[in-house]
Amino acid sequence: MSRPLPETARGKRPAVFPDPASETLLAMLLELAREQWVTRNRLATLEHWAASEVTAANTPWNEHYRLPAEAEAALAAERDAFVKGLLAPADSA
Amino acid sequence: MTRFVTHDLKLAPSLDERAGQDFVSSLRAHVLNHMASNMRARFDAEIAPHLGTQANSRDVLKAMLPRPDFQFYTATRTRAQQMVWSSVRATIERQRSDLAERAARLSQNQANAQGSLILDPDLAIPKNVSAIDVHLMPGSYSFDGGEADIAAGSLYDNGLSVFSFGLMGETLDDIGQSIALWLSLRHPQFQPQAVLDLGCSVGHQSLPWKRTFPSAKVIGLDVAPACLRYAHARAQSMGITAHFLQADATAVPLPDGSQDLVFSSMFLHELPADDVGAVFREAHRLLRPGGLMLHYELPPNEALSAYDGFYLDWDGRYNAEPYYQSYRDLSPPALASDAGFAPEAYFQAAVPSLGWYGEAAVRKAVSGATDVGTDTVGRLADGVQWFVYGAWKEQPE
Repeated sequence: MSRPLPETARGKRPAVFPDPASETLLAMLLELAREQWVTRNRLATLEHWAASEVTAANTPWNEHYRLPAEAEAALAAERDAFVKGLLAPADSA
Repeated sequence: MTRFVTHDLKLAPSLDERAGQDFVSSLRAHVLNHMASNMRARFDAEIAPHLGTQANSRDVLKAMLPRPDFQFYTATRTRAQQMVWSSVRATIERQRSDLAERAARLSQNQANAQGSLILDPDLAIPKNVSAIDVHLMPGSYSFDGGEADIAAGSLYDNGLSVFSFGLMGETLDDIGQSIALWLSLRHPQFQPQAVLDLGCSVGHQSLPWKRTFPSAKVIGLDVAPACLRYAHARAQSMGITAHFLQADATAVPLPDGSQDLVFSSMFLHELPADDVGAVFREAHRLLRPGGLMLHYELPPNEALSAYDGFYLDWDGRYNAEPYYQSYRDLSPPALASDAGFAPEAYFQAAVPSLGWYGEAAVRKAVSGATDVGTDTVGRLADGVQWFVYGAWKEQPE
């Protein structure tokens, strides 16, 4: 198993925008948005842990802390709204 | 774990990796629901009135290419597709040795299931698999890091989990579960004892046949060794006895008349047109009289509007699916007839998703009455339903 999984797919695809730089910039924006969401998720999880007297008092923070279902559903709705807002300008493009 | 891979080969992503996967799922859902609907509405309002009644999918593409809504849709969807794979790749690489060890243990443990795996190291992997990173999956199905490696299978399983954002069921096998239930209700007298799933990859849609027909011997066939190792270990983990065989579906090393059901799921559109015909002929050869060939696939172009054809053609142009369009130009009834099936033995149907609509909807579809719209199917449907077609092999008089 010396060979790592390839990072990118082979092959070329047609340009989408008249200026290929636009597609590159959009890709950069989406990667940045993913990182923004990762940070938001971590903050929300930490806030929930810190606000919970049971866990904060008795359980050190660890990476396996998971939000309860109700809080996770609320965060999922926030995530969908975040994506919608991110791409809203494209709706009227 | 990714959300829909919960068996014993599940990953252990970090908090941040999991959040990244969820973001990609939300992004894909937004593109395929909101952006696609918006694009369609604007097409109907601004372009359709100016297209002639004879316009085809290529005419629609020509009209859409310069439009910013299509360009944003395409660039966002393409990037989301790339992010599907990158969202799970690092986790797999980090756990790769452990995954291989777990798979080996599961494969050797016959306590819960008694499945098997036969690999053919001399098999030439067809170029439509080895040379194309289909749907932008790095390395394609056939990437193989050597003995015991299952990375390609893990990439596909976990990538599909992120990709599907719940559309394919809690264990990514809604297609197989729905179709197996539909068949068992539609033809209760048909009790297959030998089922062959062609192009099974990691066996998502193979195992539901064993659940529905417990006495059947189910074989999953594919050319990709790492996917088959994964499929075997996954089945053992789930306690379902299934057998996996590395072979080319155009030349199956099984005897004539040895199968009752030859099935495939989203497989034929990844083949060159000549190979599709060869697979149909193999299905006819492999079936016993009274046996059934059954495929879940994209609907043919002849059944689609110009816009819907354009919408599906997207994958051929931007998603490394070079046979998408040529496959849909084929006529399934003609293919079946050319392979030896009687013309009157051909049928097609839309099967409602079991996971989305429940068993009652599948029963209604069997009886011909359904609450689920059937004007569009599969990836074009408002809801989730699976387009199937097939043919019964004639019984001698």
